[in-house]
Amino acid sequence: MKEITEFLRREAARLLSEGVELFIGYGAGTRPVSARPLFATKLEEVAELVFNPFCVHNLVKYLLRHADRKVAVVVKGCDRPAVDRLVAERHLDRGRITLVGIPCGGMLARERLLAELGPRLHIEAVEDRGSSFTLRFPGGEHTLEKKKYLMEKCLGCTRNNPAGVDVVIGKEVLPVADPEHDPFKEIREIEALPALERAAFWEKFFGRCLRCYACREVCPACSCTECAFEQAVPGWQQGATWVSKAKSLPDNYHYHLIRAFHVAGRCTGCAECERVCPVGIPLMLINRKLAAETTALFGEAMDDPCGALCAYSVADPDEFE
Amino acid sequence: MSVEDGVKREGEKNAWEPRIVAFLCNWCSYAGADLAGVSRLKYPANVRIIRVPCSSRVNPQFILRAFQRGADGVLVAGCHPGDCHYVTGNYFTRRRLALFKRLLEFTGFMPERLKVRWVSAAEGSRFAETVKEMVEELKDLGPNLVMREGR
Repeated sequence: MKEITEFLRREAARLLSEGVELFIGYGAGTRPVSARPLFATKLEEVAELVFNPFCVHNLVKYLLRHADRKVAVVVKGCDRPAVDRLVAERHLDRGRITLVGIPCGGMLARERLLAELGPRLHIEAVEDRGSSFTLRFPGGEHTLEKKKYLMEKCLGCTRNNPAGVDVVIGKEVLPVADPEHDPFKEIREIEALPALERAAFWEKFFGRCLRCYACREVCPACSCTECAFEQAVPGWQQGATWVSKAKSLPDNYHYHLIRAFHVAGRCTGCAECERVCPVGIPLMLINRKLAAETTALFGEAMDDPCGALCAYSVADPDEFE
Repeated sequence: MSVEDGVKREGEKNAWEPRIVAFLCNWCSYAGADLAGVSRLKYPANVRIIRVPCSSRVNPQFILRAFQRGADGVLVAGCHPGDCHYVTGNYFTRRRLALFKRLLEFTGFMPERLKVRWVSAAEGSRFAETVKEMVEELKDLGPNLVMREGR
């Protein structure tokens, strides 16, 4: 990972000196085994850039705040489609953006790592060995098998090498996907339940939702200027908004179904919503389910630049009599 | 505002009756329901009709709100595909609600709770049949509790 980080810093310095105003990448996090988004505008800040298997964030959404500047942004393979999403919806001008793609051998699931190695971890270096990561500590080494420690979304990943980027950092990597991993296993299990138990399953999760809207804020497909759930209405009209501010299970249900439905056919599968959820709602189960249904019903989900639900075909299946 | 307002019937105060919210398109299905009335066709009084300009006007949030406020079933009816007054509106409805129905099923609703039907202005009897059929199905299922407020 050291070579990649050095390569990345060199390229960032080059881009910044060639007229890029802002370089968005990853820096070392303040907690052990974490990274944070880093915004470099000056050459000396480039030395803080890193890349390692803790760089989980999808940085593409930050581009929205800098849509009028010349920006370079680091993307992994799973972040890359989010750029197309925002460009197709005319939030961004592709000409202003330099995409710095890093082939990615998978991201480590932080909780699993901390549970295994303890919270006071101090990692000096990480090496990608193909099917495993080697972590080096002050007192020795530890090998982590990817199959066991990768994030859920990385296990079935086939887009390790970002396509259509302007700069590629490092060599291509082979897909780390676990051939035995079945992303639809849990979805099928839920579908096999009777309706009442399915409702109970989701009530358990939606019931603890705080409606902090982190899943919406982080999502590259959720980019409306005014959200359906936060209409700017005066207080005396608050009763007319879609969800009240009070804690309520039906409103949580409403929010989650509509959030999922609004991104249906537009979700790029970066799984950021699930990662940022403070109460661990398995949002990707719904997103994946809807993506699979969209493809099954209407063909390739991305055929319309704005998503399958913005288009129609006379030949769509007519299941309603 | 609740669907439960004013549904007590004489003589059968305790018998549970399903409540259906029906979104009918102005040009076909609402006229179809009108025809059912003018033709004096009998259909159960469990249905509360809301007239919408086009079936594609039905935001999925309308459907969820109906369930929240006590509906046991929701009916969305519009012109047959190809006959939309706005030419393409119901094609969008068809796509949207096919997907939405699957989402509802995945999150715990019975598939019978949401029905989409194409009812033309000449199909008064079809509207009456649809309501009859839906009431029977919902009677078997019992009241809807998923997403219901104050249950």
